[in-house]
Amino acid sequence: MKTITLRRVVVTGIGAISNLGSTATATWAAMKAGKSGISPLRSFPQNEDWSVRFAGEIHDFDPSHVVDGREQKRIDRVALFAMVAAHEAVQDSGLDLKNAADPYRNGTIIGSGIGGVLTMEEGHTKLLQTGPRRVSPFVVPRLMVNAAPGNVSIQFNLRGPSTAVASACASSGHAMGIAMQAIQRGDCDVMVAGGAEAAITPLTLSAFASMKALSTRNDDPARASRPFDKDRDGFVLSEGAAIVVLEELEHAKKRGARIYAELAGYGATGDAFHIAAPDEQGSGAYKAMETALRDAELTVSDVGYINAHGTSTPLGDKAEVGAVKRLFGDHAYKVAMSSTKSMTGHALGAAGGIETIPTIMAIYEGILAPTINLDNADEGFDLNFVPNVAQEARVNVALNNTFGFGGHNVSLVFKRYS
Amino acid sequence: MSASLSESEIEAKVLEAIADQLGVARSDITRASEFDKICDSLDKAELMMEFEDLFEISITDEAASKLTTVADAIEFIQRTLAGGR
Repeated sequence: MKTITLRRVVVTGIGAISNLGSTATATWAAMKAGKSGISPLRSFPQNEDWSVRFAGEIHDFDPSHVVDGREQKRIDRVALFAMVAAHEAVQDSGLDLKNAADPYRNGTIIGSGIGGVLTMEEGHTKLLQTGPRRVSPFVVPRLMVNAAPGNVSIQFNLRGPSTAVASACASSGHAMGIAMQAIQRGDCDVMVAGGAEAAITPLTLSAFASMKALSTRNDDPARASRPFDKDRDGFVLSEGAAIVVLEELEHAKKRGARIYAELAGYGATGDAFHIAAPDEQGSGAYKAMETALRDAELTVSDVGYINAHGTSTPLGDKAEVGAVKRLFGDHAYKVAMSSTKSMTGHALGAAGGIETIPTIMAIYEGILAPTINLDNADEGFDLNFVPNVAQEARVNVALNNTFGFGGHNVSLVFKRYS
Repeated sequence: MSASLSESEIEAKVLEAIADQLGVARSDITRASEFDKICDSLDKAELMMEFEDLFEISITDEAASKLTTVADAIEFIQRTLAGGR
């Protein structure tokens, strides 16, 4: 039987595009300042039939610095988001991946909950209006959920493992966790990993609204996403992408790379309960966090910060808070747990990627991003949710939770590199 | 309407459509340009749709497969329009 010695994996590059900023740097600056990226909907017309008339859209998106005009027409918004974020992350890492000596040692895994749904809807409309002979040959390469890693692999000549993960709002978490394992096992040395989503479309917005999953606070969009607050009434649909460069430790050290943090643990579970509702006990979330900490060879008392999944839905937040309190016991009151979705809204498959920024930066900069709009914590929600204003803290270990429809739960453990 | 277009008008429209579709300068496309050299099969398929819309004609897959150069496309369109459809 083959025995594998697991190698260590570190984060050496970060990139993002969100409704808070067109880079990871800008996104993080806005998070520290407690800004909201939620605004009245612009991308398509709505009348009063629409119960939700706001979202976390990225306005005036221009990928021209990464993809030229001709290529832009062949690629859906979701993959363009991924390419822009990957560009920043790879540049940030200082790696010259395009000219790598052995490109088969570099790979990519990018998650998306829905993929190119904008292309799907436009293509379907065209089909109904003009018939089958007018459906664009670019529909399939644009809409497929693996278009993001496919295009990013071309962008950086990544010839190692290349795939997509689709586990709804847990997609980014799975993508980074599986990428970490690929490096740990020795399959490759560098993985460009994260998530992307661009699903603020008429069909998607109306469908989530029909599920009663979304906040309907139309009169005050910036205050609609309010995780852990007793007046929360659902999540806010948003979009974006975030990509990290994961690198084998010795590979990073050899080239003198800046190391943000170590990605040390990955825990993944399934609720096996309901296709869209969370297990109210948060059993799967509990087990994902427990497994991730065991994978990292750490215990709950090592943890200083949790970036919660915290979507601002009544049931989801309750299940997560309950799971944290049961798993952490007394230490739960010494841990800070914030939900940065209070600022970004919920970018579905990109959420976990975007939330690696505050998770890693809690360790790297010692600043905890706040949960904004937290005026009155719900009953029994008595943890330090970093309400409304960022806090300073020395954090050695931080968790990033992402949970998705389908009952998918992922927890990732980042720790200070030493 | 389209039937009254002169050859030079057809050529101008075709060159403009190709340049626009491929995101290149109009001067980069000539009558001698070969589709296989300037674009991939997906671009070509979409270009054929564009020509169908632009000139209100029909280009079958078989006809499209015989259009190697831009000049072939211009001549095909001209013949089709002259034929009165």
